[in-house]
Amino acid sequence: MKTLVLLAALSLSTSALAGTLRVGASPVPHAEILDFIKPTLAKQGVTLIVREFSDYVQPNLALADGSIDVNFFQHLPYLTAFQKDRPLGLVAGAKVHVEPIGVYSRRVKSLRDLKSGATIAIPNDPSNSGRALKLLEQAGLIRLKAGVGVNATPLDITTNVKRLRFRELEAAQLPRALGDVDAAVINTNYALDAGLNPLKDALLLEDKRSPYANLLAVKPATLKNADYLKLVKALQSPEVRAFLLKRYGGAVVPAF
Amino acid sequence: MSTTIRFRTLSSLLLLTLAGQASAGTLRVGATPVPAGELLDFVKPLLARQGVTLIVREFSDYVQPNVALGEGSLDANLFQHQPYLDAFQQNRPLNIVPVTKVYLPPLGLYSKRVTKVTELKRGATLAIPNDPSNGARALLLLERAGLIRLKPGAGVRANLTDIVSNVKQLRFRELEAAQLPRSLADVDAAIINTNYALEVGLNPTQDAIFREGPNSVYVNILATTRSQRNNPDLKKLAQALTSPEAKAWLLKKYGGSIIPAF
Repeated sequence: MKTLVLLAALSLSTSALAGTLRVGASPVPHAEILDFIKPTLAKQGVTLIVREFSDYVQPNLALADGSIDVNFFQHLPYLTAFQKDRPLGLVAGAKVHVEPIGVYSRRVKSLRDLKSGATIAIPNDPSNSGRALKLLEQAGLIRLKAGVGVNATPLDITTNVKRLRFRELEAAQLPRALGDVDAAVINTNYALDAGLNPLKDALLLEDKRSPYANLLAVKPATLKNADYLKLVKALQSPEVRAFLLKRYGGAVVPAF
Repeated sequence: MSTTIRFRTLSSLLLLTLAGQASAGTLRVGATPVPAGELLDFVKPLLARQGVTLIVREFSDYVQPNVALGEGSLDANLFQHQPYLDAFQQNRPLNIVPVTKVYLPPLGLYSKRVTKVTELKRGATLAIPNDPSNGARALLLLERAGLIRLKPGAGVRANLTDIVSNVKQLRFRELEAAQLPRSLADVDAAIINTNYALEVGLNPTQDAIFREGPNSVYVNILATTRSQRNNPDLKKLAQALTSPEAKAWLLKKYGGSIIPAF
Protein backbone atom coordinates (compact mmCIF):
# COMPACT_ATOMS: atom_id res chain seq x y z
CA MET A 1 0.00 0.00 0.00
CA LYS A 2 2.72 2.43 1.05
CA THR A 3 4.72 1.64 -2.05
CA LEU A 4 1.67 2.25 -4.20
CA VAL A 5 1.00 5.66 -2.66
CA LEU A 6 4.64 6.56 -3.06
CA LEU A 7 4.61 5.51 -6.69
CA ALA A 8 1.42 7.46 -7.28
CA ALA A 9 2.97 10.53 -5.68
CA LEU A 10 6.08 10.16 -7.80
CA SER A 11 4.22 9.85 -11.05
CA LEU A 12 1.99 12.76 -10.10
CA SER A 13 4.95 15.03 -9.52
CA THR A 14 6.47 14.12 -12.89
CA SER A 15 3.22 14.52 -14.75
CA ALA A 16 2.72 17.91 -13.11
CA LEU A 17 5.98 19.02 -14.65
CA ALA A 18 5.55 17.17 -17.90
CA GLY A 19 3.37 19.05 -20.32
CA THR A 20 4.78 22.46 -19.42
CA LEU A 21 7.98 24.16 -20.55
CA ARG A 22 9.08 27.48 -19.11
CA VAL A 23 11.33 29.23 -21.59
CA GLY A 24 13.28 32.43 -20.85
CA ALA A 25 13.84 34.54 -23.96
CA SER A 26 14.77 37.93 -25.37
CA PRO A 27 11.65 39.54 -26.84
CA VAL A 28 12.91 39.81 -30.42
CA PRO A 29 13.07 37.59 -32.36
CA HIS A 30 13.21 34.81 -29.77
CA ALA A 31 9.89 35.33 -27.97
CA GLU A 32 8.23 36.05 -31.31
CA ILE A 33 9.36 32.67 -32.64
CA LEU A 34 8.24 30.92 -29.46
CA ASP A 35 4.84 32.62 -29.66
CA PHE A 36 4.55 31.40 -33.22
CA ILE A 37 5.00 27.73 -32.25
CA LYS A 38 2.88 27.88 -29.09
CA PRO A 39 -0.29 26.56 -30.81
CA THR A 40 1.65 23.73 -32.47
CA LEU A 41 3.01 22.60 -29.12
CA ALA A 42 -0.35 23.00 -27.42
CA LYS A 43 -1.79 20.50 -29.92
CA GLN A 44 0.92 18.07 -28.78
CA GLY A 45 0.01 18.59 -25.13
CA VAL A 46 2.87 20.94 -24.26
CA THR A 47 2.09 24.31 -22.71
CA LEU A 48 4.81 26.83 -23.47
CA ILE A 49 5.31 29.58 -20.91
CA VAL A 50 7.50 32.33 -22.34
CA ARG A 51 9.26 34.59 -19.87
CA GLU A 52 10.88 37.65 -21.41
CA PHE A 53 14.16 38.92 -19.97
CA SER A 54 15.74 42.34 -20.28
CA ASP A 55 19.35 41.30 -19.78
CA TYR A 56 21.82 38.54 -20.65
CA VAL A 57 22.66 37.37 -17.13
CA GLN A 58 19.34 36.51 -15.48
CA PRO A 59 18.20 33.98 -18.11
CA ASN A 60 21.25 31.82 -17.36
CA LEU A 61 20.89 32.19 -13.60
CA ALA A 62 17.17 31.38 -13.83
CA LEU A 63 17.97 28.28 -15.87
CA ALA A 64 20.57 27.15 -13.34
CA ASP A 65 18.26 27.66 -10.35
CA GLY A 66 15.42 25.79 -12.04
CA SER A 67 12.94 28.65 -12.34
CA ILE A 68 12.92 28.13 -16.11
CA ASP A 69 13.53 24.92 -18.09
CA VAL A 70 15.11 26.34 -21.23
CA ASN A 71 16.50 29.67 -22.30
CA PHE A 72 16.72 31.07 -25.79
CA PHE A 73 18.67 34.30 -26.23
CA GLN A 74 22.37 33.50 -26.71
CA HIS A 75 24.94 31.96 -29.02
CA LEU A 76 27.66 29.49 -28.13
CA PRO A 77 30.56 31.99 -27.78
CA TYR A 78 28.50 33.92 -25.23
CA LEU A 79 27.45 30.82 -23.29
CA THR A 80 31.05 29.62 -23.20
CA ALA A 81 32.43 32.97 -22.04
CA PHE A 82 29.65 33.28 -19.45
CA GLN A 83 30.40 29.89 -17.94
CA LYS A 84 34.10 30.61 -17.78
CA ASP A 85 33.17 33.26 -15.20
CA ARG A 86 30.26 31.40 -13.65
CA PRO A 87 30.27 27.67 -14.28
CA LEU A 88 26.61 26.68 -13.98
CA GLY A 89 26.66 23.37 -15.83
CA LEU A 90 24.49 24.67 -18.67
CA VAL A 91 24.81 23.11 -22.11
CA ALA A 92 23.99 24.14 -25.65
CA GLY A 93 20.89 22.58 -27.15
CA ALA A 94 19.31 23.02 -30.56
CA LYS A 95 20.22 25.91 -32.86
CA VAL A 96 17.37 28.00 -34.19
CA HIS A 97 18.38 31.14 -36.08
CA VAL A 98 21.18 33.52 -36.93
CA GLU A 99 21.31 37.21 -37.83
CA PRO A 100 23.60 36.45 -40.71
CA ILE A 101 26.72 37.99 -42.10
CA GLY A 102 26.90 37.40 -45.87
CA VAL A 103 29.20 37.54 -48.88
CA TYR A 104 28.16 40.07 -51.53
CA SER A 105 29.63 41.05 -54.85
CA ARG A 106 28.94 43.33 -57.78
CA ARG A 107 31.45 41.55 -59.99
CA VAL A 108 30.70 37.85 -59.70
CA LYS A 109 27.45 35.90 -59.52
CA SER A 110 28.87 32.97 -57.60
CA LEU A 111 31.81 32.34 -55.31
CA ARG A 112 33.15 29.86 -57.85
CA ASP A 113 33.61 32.72 -60.29
CA LEU A 114 36.10 34.50 -58.02
CA LYS A 115 39.39 34.66 -59.87
CA SER A 116 42.75 33.81 -58.43
CA GLY A 117 44.11 36.86 -56.62
CA ALA A 118 40.65 38.37 -56.10
CA THR A 119 40.30 40.95 -53.36
CA ILE A 120 37.79 40.38 -50.56
CA ALA A 121 36.87 43.10 -48.08
CA ILE A 122 36.15 41.94 -44.54
CA PRO A 123 35.31 43.79 -41.31
CA ASN A 124 38.32 45.01 -39.34
CA ASP A 125 37.06 44.39 -35.80
CA PRO A 126 38.24 41.10 -34.27
CA SER A 127 34.88 39.49 -33.78
CA ASN A 128 33.33 40.30 -37.17
CA SER A 129 36.60 39.57 -38.93
CA GLY A 130 36.71 36.11 -37.34
CA ARG A 131 33.12 35.58 -38.30
CA ALA A 132 33.77 36.59 -41.91
CA LEU A 133 36.78 34.30 -42.21
CA LYS A 134 34.83 31.35 -40.76
CA LEU A 135 32.19 31.89 -43.44
CA LEU A 136 34.82 31.93 -46.18
CA GLU A 137 36.26 28.76 -44.69
CA GLN A 138 32.85 27.09 -44.88
CA ALA A 139 32.72 28.06 -48.54
CA GLY A 140 36.00 26.20 -49.00
CA LEU A 141 37.84 29.35 -50.09
CA ILE A 142 40.34 29.33 -47.26
CA ARG A 143 41.35 27.16 -44.35
CA LEU A 144 42.06 28.53 -40.89
CA LYS A 145 44.57 27.28 -38.33
CA ALA A 146 42.99 24.40 -36.41
CA GLY A 147 41.48 25.42 -33.11
CA VAL A 148 41.53 29.12 -33.85
CA GLY A 149 38.57 30.59 -32.05
CA VAL A 150 35.86 32.99 -33.13
CA ASN A 151 38.34 35.87 -33.33
CA ALA A 152 40.42 34.59 -36.24
CA THR A 153 42.36 37.14 -38.30
CA PRO A 154 43.82 36.88 -41.82
CA LEU A 155 47.09 35.83 -40.11
CA ASP A 156 45.40 32.57 -39.12
CA ILE A 157 44.79 31.54 -42.74
CA THR A 158 46.79 28.36 -43.48
CA THR A 159 45.44 27.55 -46.94
CA ASN A 160 44.31 30.05 -49.53
CA VAL A 161 43.81 28.19 -52.81
CA LYS A 162 42.66 31.20 -54.81
CA ARG A 163 45.34 33.42 -53.28
CA LEU A 164 42.62 35.80 -52.19
CA ARG A 165 43.74 39.15 -50.93
CA PHE A 166 41.98 40.62 -47.92
CA ARG A 167 41.21 44.22 -47.24
CA GLU A 168 40.12 44.95 -43.69
CA LEU A 169 37.64 47.82 -43.39
CA GLU A 170 35.32 49.37 -40.87
CA ALA A 171 32.24 47.08 -40.93
CA ALA A 172 29.86 49.92 -41.77
CA GLN A 173 31.97 50.92 -44.82
CA LEU A 174 31.83 47.52 -46.48
CA PRO A 175 28.79 48.04 -48.75
CA ARG A 176 30.52 51.10 -50.19
CA ALA A 177 33.65 49.06 -50.89
CA LEU A 178 31.70 46.78 -53.25
CA GLY A 179 32.66 49.01 -56.17
CA ASP A 180 36.36 48.50 -55.49
CA VAL A 181 36.68 44.86 -54.48
CA ASP A 182 35.61 41.53 -55.93
CA ALA A 183 33.50 40.63 -52.92
CA ALA A 184 32.81 41.83 -49.40
CA VAL A 185 31.58 40.12 -46.24
CA ILE A 186 28.84 42.34 -44.82
CA ASN A 187 26.65 42.32 -41.73
CA THR A 188 22.94 42.22 -42.55
CA ASN A 189 22.01 45.68 -41.36
CA TYR A 190 24.67 47.38 -43.48
CA ALA A 191 23.60 45.29 -46.45
CA LEU A 192 19.93 46.21 -45.97
CA ASP A 193 20.83 49.87 -45.52
CA ALA A 194 22.67 49.78 -48.84
CA GLY A 195 19.60 48.33 -50.56
CA LEU A 196 20.93 44.79 -50.76
CA ASN A 197 18.53 41.95 -50.05
CA PRO A 198 20.36 39.26 -48.08
CA LEU A 199 17.99 36.55 -49.30
CA LYS A 200 18.45 37.43 -52.98
CA ASP A 201 21.75 39.23 -53.31
CA ALA A 202 24.10 37.37 -50.99
CA LEU A 203 26.34 34.82 -52.67
CA LEU A 204 26.53 33.08 -49.33
CA LEU A 205 24.80 33.61 -45.99
CA GLU A 206 25.63 32.16 -42.62
CA ASP A 207 23.66 29.08 -41.63
CA LYS A 208 23.74 26.53 -38.84
CA ARG A 209 27.52 26.38 -39.05
CA SER A 210 27.82 29.96 -37.87
CA PRO A 211 29.32 30.22 -34.39
CA TYR A 212 26.75 32.95 -33.81
CA ALA A 213 23.70 30.76 -34.30
CA ASN A 214 21.19 31.46 -31.52
CA LEU A 215 20.52 28.33 -29.57
CA LEU A 216 18.50 26.83 -26.77
CA ALA A 217 20.43 26.34 -23.54
CA VAL A 218 19.42 23.75 -20.96
CA LYS A 219 20.68 21.62 -18.11
CA PRO A 220 22.13 18.37 -19.47
CA ALA A 221 19.23 16.24 -18.18
CA THR A 222 16.73 18.28 -20.22
CA LEU A 223 18.31 17.21 -23.51
CA LYS A 224 16.40 13.92 -23.31
CA ASN A 225 13.15 15.36 -21.95
CA ALA A 226 10.20 14.50 -24.20
CA ASP A 227 8.69 17.99 -24.04
CA TYR A 228 12.03 19.58 -24.84
CA LEU A 229 12.36 17.32 -27.86
CA LYS A 230 8.92 18.44 -29.05
CA LEU A 231 10.03 22.06 -28.62
CA VAL A 232 13.13 21.44 -30.73
CA LYS A 233 11.11 19.71 -33.43
CA ALA A 234 8.63 22.57 -33.56
CA LEU A 235 11.39 25.20 -33.68
CA GLN A 236 13.31 23.43 -36.41
CA SER A 237 10.22 22.89 -38.57
CA PRO A 238 9.55 24.01 -42.15
CA GLU A 239 6.85 26.30 -40.72
CA VAL A 240 9.39 28.20 -38.60
CA ARG A 241 11.77 28.36 -41.55
CA ALA A 242 9.07 30.01 -43.65
CA PHE A 243 8.03 32.27 -40.77
CA LEU A 244 11.60 33.55 -40.29
CA LEU A 245 12.21 34.22 -43.95
CA LYS A 246 8.90 35.99 -44.42
CA ARG A 247 8.83 37.99 -41.22
CA TYR A 248 12.38 39.31 -41.09
CA GLY A 249 13.25 39.81 -44.74
CA GLY A 250 16.67 38.20 -44.41
CA ALA A 251 17.67 39.92 -41.17
CA VAL A 252 17.07 36.60 -39.39
CA VAL A 253 17.60 33.27 -41.13
CA PRO A 254 17.17 29.65 -40.01
CA ALA A 255 20.14 27.90 -38.40
CA PHE A 256 18.85 24.35 -38.84
CA MET B 1 54.96 67.12 40.13
CA SER B 2 55.32 63.72 38.58
CA THR B 3 51.57 63.24 38.96
CA THR B 4 50.92 66.39 36.97
CA ILE B 5 53.15 65.31 34.13
CA ARG B 6 51.50 61.97 34.04
CA PHE B 7 48.14 63.69 33.99
CA ARG B 8 49.20 65.93 31.10
CA THR B 9 50.43 62.99 29.07
CA LEU B 10 47.18 61.24 29.73
CA SER B 11 45.07 64.19 28.70
CA SER B 12 47.02 64.71 25.50
CA LEU B 13 46.59 61.03 24.74
CA LEU B 14 42.90 61.46 25.39
CA LEU B 15 42.75 64.42 23.01
CA LEU B 16 44.48 62.45 20.31
CA THR B 17 42.02 59.62 20.58
CA LEU B 18 39.14 62.03 20.56
CA ALA B 19 40.38 63.73 17.42
CA GLY B 20 40.84 60.35 15.76
CA GLN B 21 37.34 59.33 16.64
CA ALA B 22 35.81 62.58 15.46
CA SER B 23 36.94 62.07 11.88
CA ALA B 24 36.54 58.30 12.15
CA GLY B 25 32.86 58.54 13.04
CA THR B 26 31.93 61.03 10.33
CA LEU B 27 31.36 60.59 6.63
CA ARG B 28 30.88 63.49 4.23
CA VAL B 29 28.95 62.33 1.19
CA GLY B 30 28.15 64.38 -1.89
CA ALA B 31 24.91 63.65 -3.71
CA THR B 32 22.34 64.99 -6.14
CA PRO B 33 19.08 65.69 -4.27
CA VAL B 34 16.81 62.99 -5.74
CA PRO B 35 16.98 60.11 -5.17
CA ALA B 36 20.57 59.99 -3.82
CA GLY B 37 20.17 62.76 -1.21
CA GLU B 38 16.85 61.39 -0.03
CA LEU B 39 18.22 57.87 0.24
CA LEU B 40 21.21 59.09 2.25
CA ASP B 41 18.86 60.94 4.59
CA PHE B 42 16.95 57.70 5.03
CA VAL B 43 20.04 55.72 6.08
CA LYS B 44 21.34 58.49 8.37
CA PRO B 45 19.62 57.13 11.53
CA LEU B 46 20.72 53.56 10.70
CA LEU B 47 24.32 54.75 10.61
CA ALA B 48 23.97 56.96 13.69
CA ARG B 49 23.07 53.81 15.64
CA GLN B 50 26.41 52.35 14.49
CA GLY B 51 28.28 55.45 15.62
CA VAL B 52 28.67 57.03 12.17
CA THR B 53 27.50 60.60 11.57
CA LEU B 54 26.51 61.13 7.96
CA ILE B 55 26.90 64.63 6.54
CA VAL B 56 25.09 64.90 3.20
CA ARG B 57 26.18 67.68 0.88
CA GLU B 58 23.86 68.26 -2.05
CA PHE B 59 25.13 69.21 -5.50
CA SER B 60 23.23 70.44 -8.50
CA ASP B 61 25.83 69.45 -11.09
CA TYR B 62 27.78 66.33 -12.09
CA VAL B 63 31.32 67.70 -11.95
CA GLN B 64 31.75 69.23 -8.49
CA PRO B 65 30.89 66.04 -6.54
CA ASN B 66 33.86 64.30 -8.16
CA VAL B 67 36.18 67.28 -7.84
CA ALA B 68 35.29 67.67 -4.15
CA LEU B 69 35.86 63.95 -3.59
CA GLY B 70 39.19 64.09 -5.39
CA GLU B 71 40.46 67.01 -3.31
CA GLY B 72 39.36 65.42 -0.03
CA SER B 73 36.49 67.68 1.00
CA LEU B 74 34.17 64.67 0.60
CA ASP B 75 34.67 61.04 1.65
CA ALA B 76 32.27 59.58 -0.89
CA ASN B 77 29.67 60.52 -3.45
CA LEU B 78 26.49 59.03 -4.84
CA PHE B 79 25.10 60.46 -8.08
CA GLN B 80 26.78 58.79 -11.09
CA HIS B 81 27.04 55.56 -13.01
CA GLN B 82 30.25 53.74 -13.87
CA PRO B 83 30.38 54.76 -17.57
CA TYR B 84 30.11 58.41 -16.50
CA LEU B 85 32.84 57.97 -13.88
CA ASP B 86 35.09 56.27 -16.45
CA ALA B 87 34.57 59.05 -19.00
CA PHE B 88 35.11 61.71 -16.32
CA GLN B 89 38.38 60.21 -15.16
CA GLN B 90 39.70 59.91 -18.66
CA ASN B 91 39.85 63.69 -18.61
CA ARG B 92 40.55 64.12 -14.92
CA PRO B 93 42.07 61.09 -13.20
CA LEU B 94 41.20 61.54 -9.51
CA ASN B 95 41.64 57.99 -8.21
CA ILE B 96 37.92 57.62 -7.68
CA VAL B 97 36.73 54.02 -7.40
CA PRO B 98 33.31 52.36 -7.10
CA VAL B 99 32.28 50.92 -3.72
CA THR B 100 28.90 49.39 -4.42
CA LYS B 101 25.98 49.51 -6.86
CA VAL B 102 22.97 51.24 -5.36
CA TYR B 103 20.04 52.15 -7.61
CA LEU B 104 18.97 52.59 -11.19
CA PRO B 105 16.63 55.15 -12.73
CA PRO B 106 15.93 52.85 -15.67
CA LEU B 107 16.00 54.01 -19.25
CA GLY B 108 12.82 52.69 -20.85
CA LEU B 109 11.15 52.15 -24.20
CA TYR B 110 7.70 53.73 -24.27
CA SER B 111 4.98 53.65 -26.87
CA LYS B 112 1.48 54.91 -27.43
CA ARG B 113 0.98 52.53 -30.35
CA VAL B 114 2.07 49.11 -29.13
CA THR B 115 1.93 47.40 -25.75
CA LYS B 116 4.77 44.94 -26.30
CA VAL B 117 8.16 45.04 -27.99
CA THR B 118 7.13 42.07 -30.09
CA GLU B 119 4.24 44.09 -31.56
CA LEU B 120 6.61 46.56 -33.20
CA LYS B 121 6.23 46.20 -36.96
CA ARG B 122 9.00 45.93 -39.50
CA GLY B 123 10.17 49.42 -40.46
CA ALA B 124 8.78 51.02 -37.29
CA THR B 125 10.27 54.37 -36.25
CA LEU B 126 11.97 54.71 -32.87
CA ALA B 127 13.08 57.99 -31.32
CA ILE B 128 16.29 57.86 -29.28
CA PRO B 129 18.34 60.51 -27.42
CA ASN B 130 20.79 62.41 -29.63
CA ASP B 131 23.60 62.91 -27.11
CA PRO B 132 26.40 60.32 -27.33
CA SER B 133 26.08 59.01 -23.79
CA ASN B 134 22.30 58.50 -23.71
CA GLY B 135 22.32 57.47 -27.33
CA ALA B 136 24.69 54.58 -26.60
CA ARG B 137 22.66 53.65 -23.57
CA ALA B 138 19.51 53.55 -25.70
CA LEU B 139 21.14 51.29 -28.30
CA LEU B 140 22.37 48.91 -25.60
CA LEU B 141 18.81 48.68 -24.29
CA LEU B 142 17.46 47.91 -27.76
CA GLU B 143 20.11 45.22 -28.08
CA ARG B 144 18.88 43.63 -24.85
CA ALA B 145 15.41 43.53 -26.39
CA GLY B 146 16.95 41.67 -29.32
CA LEU B 147 15.80 44.37 -31.73
CA ILE B 148 19.33 45.17 -32.86
CA ARG B 149 22.87 43.81 -32.53
CA LEU B 150 25.77 46.16 -32.02
CA LYS B 151 29.30 45.69 -33.23
CA PRO B 152 31.05 43.71 -30.48
CA GLY B 153 33.00 46.03 -28.24
CA ALA B 154 30.96 49.12 -29.15
CA GLY B 155 29.70 49.26 -25.56
CA VAL B 156 28.98 52.62 -23.94
CA ARG B 157 30.30 54.43 -27.02
CA ALA B 158 27.92 52.74 -29.43
CA ASN B 159 26.27 54.87 -32.11
CA LEU B 160 23.87 54.17 -34.97
CA THR B 161 26.66 53.08 -37.32
CA ASP B 162 27.54 50.25 -34.90
CA ILE B 163 24.22 48.48 -35.55
CA VAL B 164 25.26 45.33 -37.42
CA SER B 165 21.88 43.66 -37.30
CA ASN B 166 18.46 45.32 -37.18
CA VAL B 167 15.95 42.51 -36.96
CA LYS B 168 12.87 44.63 -37.69
CA GLN B 169 14.67 47.16 -39.88
CA LEU B 170 13.69 49.87 -37.45
CA ARG B 171 14.22 53.49 -38.42
CA PHE B 172 15.73 55.84 -35.87
CA ARG B 173 15.08 59.48 -35.15
CA GLU B 174 17.60 61.18 -32.88
CA LEU B 175 16.16 63.87 -30.62
CA GLU B 176 17.11 65.93 -27.59
CA ALA B 177 16.56 63.66 -24.54
CA ALA B 178 14.12 66.11 -22.97
CA GLN B 179 11.99 66.20 -26.15
CA LEU B 180 11.47 62.46 -26.33
CA PRO B 181 8.24 62.23 -24.31
CA ARG B 182 6.65 64.72 -26.70
CA SER B 183 7.75 62.66 -29.72
CA LEU B 184 5.58 59.72 -28.61
CA ALA B 185 2.68 60.93 -30.73
CA ASP B 186 4.79 60.88 -33.91
CA VAL B 187 6.83 57.71 -33.59
CA ASP B 188 6.09 54.07 -32.88
CA ALA B 189 8.18 54.08 -29.71
CA ALA B 190 10.71 56.28 -27.93
CA ILE B 191 13.50 55.69 -25.45
CA ILE B 192 13.11 58.00 -22.49
CA ASN B 193 15.15 58.68 -19.34
CA THR B 194 13.28 58.15 -16.09
CA ASN B 195 13.35 61.81 -15.05
CA TYR B 196 11.78 62.96 -18.33
CA ALA B 197 9.27 60.10 -18.23
CA LEU B 198 8.18 61.09 -14.70
CA GLU B 199 7.73 64.70 -15.78
CA VAL B 200 4.99 63.69 -18.22
CA GLY B 201 3.40 61.22 -15.84
CA LEU B 202 4.90 58.02 -17.25
CA ASN B 203 6.01 55.37 -14.77
CA PRO B 204 8.88 53.12 -15.90
CA THR B 205 7.53 50.05 -14.12
CA GLN B 206 3.99 50.33 -15.43
CA ASP B 207 4.27 52.15 -18.72
CA ALA B 208 7.57 51.13 -20.30
CA ILE B 209 7.22 48.29 -22.79
CA PHE B 210 10.86 47.44 -22.11
CA ARG B 211 13.32 48.86 -19.61
CA GLU B 212 16.74 48.41 -18.05
CA GLY B 213 17.09 45.96 -15.19
CA PRO B 214 19.38 45.89 -12.15
CA ASN B 215 22.19 44.32 -14.20
CA SER B 216 22.53 47.45 -16.31
CA VAL B 217 25.99 49.04 -16.45
CA TYR B 218 24.21 52.34 -15.86
CA VAL B 219 23.44 51.57 -12.22
CA ASN B 220 24.33 54.47 -9.91
CA ILE B 221 27.23 53.73 -7.62
CA LEU B 222 28.59 54.85 -4.28
CA ALA B 223 32.11 56.06 -5.09
CA THR B 224 35.14 56.97 -3.00
CA THR B 225 38.84 57.54 -3.47
CA ARG B 226 41.34 54.70 -3.65
CA SER B 227 42.86 55.70 -0.30
CA GLN B 228 39.49 55.57 1.49
CA ARG B 229 38.44 52.24 0.05
CA ASN B 230 39.00 50.32 3.28
CA ASN B 231 37.53 52.93 5.60
CA PRO B 232 35.30 50.87 7.95
CA ASP B 233 32.73 53.67 8.18
CA LEU B 234 32.37 53.64 4.43
CA LYS B 235 31.73 49.90 4.58
CA LYS B 236 28.96 50.58 7.07
CA LEU B 237 27.48 53.16 4.68
CA ALA B 238 27.67 50.72 1.78
CA GLN B 239 25.94 48.09 3.90
CA ALA B 240 23.19 50.49 4.96
CA LEU B 241 22.60 51.66 1.38
CA THR B 242 22.20 48.08 0.21
CA SER B 243 20.18 46.84 3.20
CA PRO B 244 16.72 45.29 2.96
CA GLU B 245 15.44 48.45 4.68
CA ALA B 246 16.89 50.66 1.95
CA LYS B 247 15.45 48.38 -0.73
CA ALA B 248 11.96 48.51 0.77
CA TRP B 249 12.21 52.28 1.21
CA LEU B 250 13.31 52.86 -2.41
CA LEU B 251 10.50 50.74 -3.81
CA LYS B 252 7.87 52.39 -1.65
CA LYS B 253 9.09 55.95 -1.98
CA TYR B 254 9.51 55.96 -5.76
CA GLY B 255 6.79 53.50 -6.73
CA GLY B 256 9.10 51.45 -8.93
CA SER B 257 10.53 54.36 -10.90
CA ILE B 258 13.87 53.78 -9.16
CA ILE B 259 15.08 50.17 -9.17
CA PRO B 260 17.29 48.93 -6.30
CA ALA B 261 20.41 47.38 -7.82
CA PHE B 262 21.37 45.11 -4.96
